[in-house]
Amino acid sequence: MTVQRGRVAFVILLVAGVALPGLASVAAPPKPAGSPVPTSSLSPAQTALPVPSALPSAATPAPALPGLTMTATPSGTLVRFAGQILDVRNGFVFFTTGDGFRLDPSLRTDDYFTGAPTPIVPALRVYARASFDTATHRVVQLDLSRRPIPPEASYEAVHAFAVTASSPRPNPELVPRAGFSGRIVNVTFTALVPSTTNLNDVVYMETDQSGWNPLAIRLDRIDALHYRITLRLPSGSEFLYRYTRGSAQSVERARNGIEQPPRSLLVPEVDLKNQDDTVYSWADTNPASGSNSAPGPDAIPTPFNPAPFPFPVPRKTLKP
Amino acid sequence: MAPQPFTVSANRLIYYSDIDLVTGEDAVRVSLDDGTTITGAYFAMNLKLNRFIVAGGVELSYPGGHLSGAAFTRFMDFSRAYFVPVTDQPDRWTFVGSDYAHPLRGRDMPGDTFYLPEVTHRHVFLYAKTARFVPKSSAFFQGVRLSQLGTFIPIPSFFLSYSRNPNFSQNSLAGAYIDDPFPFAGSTNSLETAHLRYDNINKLYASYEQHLVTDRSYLVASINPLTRPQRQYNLTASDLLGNNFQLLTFAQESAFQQWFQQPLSASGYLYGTATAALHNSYLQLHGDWYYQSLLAQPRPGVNGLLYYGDPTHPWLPDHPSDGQLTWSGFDHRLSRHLPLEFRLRSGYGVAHDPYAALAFLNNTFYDTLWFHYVGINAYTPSIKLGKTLVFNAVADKQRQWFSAPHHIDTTSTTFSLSRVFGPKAAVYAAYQLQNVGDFFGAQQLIAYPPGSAGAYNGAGQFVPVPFPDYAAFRGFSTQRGFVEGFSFTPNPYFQTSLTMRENHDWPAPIAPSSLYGLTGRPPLELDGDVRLRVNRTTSVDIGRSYYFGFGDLRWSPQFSIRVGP
Repeated sequence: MTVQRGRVAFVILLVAGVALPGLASVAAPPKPAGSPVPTSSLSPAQTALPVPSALPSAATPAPALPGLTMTATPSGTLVRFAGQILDVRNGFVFFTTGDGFRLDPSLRTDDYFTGAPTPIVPALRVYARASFDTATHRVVQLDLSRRPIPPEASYEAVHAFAVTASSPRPNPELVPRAGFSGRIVNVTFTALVPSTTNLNDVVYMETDQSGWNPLAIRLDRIDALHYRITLRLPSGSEFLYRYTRGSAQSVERARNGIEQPPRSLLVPEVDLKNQDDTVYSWADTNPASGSNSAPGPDAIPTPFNPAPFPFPVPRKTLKP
Repeated sequence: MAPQPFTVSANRLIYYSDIDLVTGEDAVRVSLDDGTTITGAYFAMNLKLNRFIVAGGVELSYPGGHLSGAAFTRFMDFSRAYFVPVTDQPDRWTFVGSDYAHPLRGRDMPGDTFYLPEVTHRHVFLYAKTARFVPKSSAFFQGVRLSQLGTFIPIPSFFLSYSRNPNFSQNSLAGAYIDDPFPFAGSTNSLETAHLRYDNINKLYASYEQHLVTDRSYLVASINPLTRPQRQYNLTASDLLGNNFQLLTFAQESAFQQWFQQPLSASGYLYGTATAALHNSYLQLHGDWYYQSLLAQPRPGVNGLLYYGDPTHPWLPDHPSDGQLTWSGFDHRLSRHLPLEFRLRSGYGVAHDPYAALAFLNNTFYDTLWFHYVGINAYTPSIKLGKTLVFNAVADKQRQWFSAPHHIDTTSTTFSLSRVFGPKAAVYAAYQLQNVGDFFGAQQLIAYPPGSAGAYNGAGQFVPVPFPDYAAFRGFSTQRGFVEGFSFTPNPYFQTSLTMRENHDWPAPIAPSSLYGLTGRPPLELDGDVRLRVNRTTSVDIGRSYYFGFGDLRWSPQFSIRVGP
């Protein structure tokens, strides 16, 4: 089971990047000055891309796609790229794209928002706008901030400046297999409940994302036999859930009366998904009455005999 | 190969509960179980995606080597690690498994491999010094400061279980107004939790609960309250034996005792259920055992009464029990051309109470009753009427025979009409009719004697019932109910529902008053419920009912307000 889940998630990982082919993360070798900036050195099938969250809570914020800004400089053209710094070591600045860029010895640092000299040191987690000299491929200026800064040049415009010891090689594990983008899908769950379910009952959904709390998601009754709820889930995510009437003791059972593993839904890449489920029985259903109350002597033989009210039931005399 | 556990220490670890993220700042040290250590300035672990990153001055030490880099990321689900080495020139390396000596150089990586999560305005659940992660299962934090009521309180440890195993959610505690759990220890298969709770009887108190779980079984035990003399010891357990057999049990001891001294009273309840799947049906064997007193019979005290300590803790030897074997069939369609599904059931059982009468007829105690029954439930699938209306019908009929000479017929029928307004709103109206008849044949008037509208008490005195319907009651009742419901869910953050219930029952219900408790269903009731989702992890559910002209009841005693996930 674990292997299967891992495989599904891996497929999600592999295919997730297809929708955003601009975010190639492999650094191209440095180009001679004056050569055109490549838009992408990889085919879509080879492109390694940001992975959308497999779960809505686990989204890893990806940097926004920047625009391109070029400014004429004495040495060539200045390209500006905004991102977040991973590290600054050995004369390189590393961005969260995974690329290392060589720093110019005459590097200048300013505050991004004021343009004035800044006490912020280029370091891990600091946001920076790097200005590249297209002639030297070096970072000549870093405008720094502790807050996210808006994007400028696209990654494709600067990844050719990244210094890398090895030639990029395609990763066969990143070949896309299906089309999941992580987009939000409206999934409408409609549950057909057992016909013995009381009209007063409320039906809930417990999920792995809410720690299997049996009151996590309340469904709306839409007729005598159906309950419904619409959830917004990212495509490609695996959603585990079970129906319950509000407690761990009233969770749904399989058709054969046995406890069943949670239901699983791999959210498809569609605008709207209708998921129709059938609940065959509840764990606390008393077969003798067909209702959802626990069996016990109080229900036997009948509430009408011998005393329907809270009056004393005849008792045998106890002998001390 | 399953991902291996690992340990992380840092000057400050932070768990953000709303995004399932753990970060570490300064002096980060990650120790893998294969002997590899990764140090750096920053750590982030996404619990749901099952991946972590160490960034900033990264030093990777493994058996047989050492590497320096800018960032290290491990995707545990795929046994891949990604590394940005810092040598004379940067590079991109991919490690397969734990083979750090032979990196795949220059290989493409997923695009967000080294992205750092944004945590501004996220909810800090706790701070800690160290954490032991079992991937896809748990994180055990030590040196913890836990967020509580706007401040952070120091506690030795906190065990966070984020396993996808639903058996961890099994509960053996009774309800409480407020429940604040402190899971302080655990493993992949266990969880130990202290609870701080509040209710209007016990006020503020502590409880303890223990989970032992596997994918196919669980055992959950608790002491509740732990800090009050009147407490319950609960145990619930289940085991799936193969794919077609399940055992389930629940045991409870209610005791009055100071801490763990000899109790002054102790009663017990136990049930067990075994379910066996058959072809197109299943069997279920269920038993209940009640023990009014688990203590030995005391010596007679004042006035010959039997009690422990004082007469407020009487000793009662009663121990009723019951059991039944039931057979339940699957749903079947009556015919290919008729939209009618049906389900059959039958059962055989016994109830026994050596001290209290289960039936009382002709001055005869029946302390053992055997019974058997057959029943059928039939329903129509949703039938469209016109373009907008949907019709459903459900009928249920059961006859139950008892060894005491009578049988009970129960017939219920429900019709409903509903209309759905897009994905956001729905209305329905349902009419329900239930008839229950207790048939004694020639002894009908002995079982339900005319003019007796009551019962004899323990002293042999007849206690009359001042309600005419019950004076005329001869064992046959009719309940009729009309229910109208409306639900509106405009978005995932707001839900509301309104339900009107109108009941016409015979015998008429006894309205609650200072003399009598509620018996029967209120004639007219309006229920409203609103649920607001505050954020991903918190929702507020507010409900209230109004009873029209029903004794002392108008508004239900109070709002029901529930804050949960």
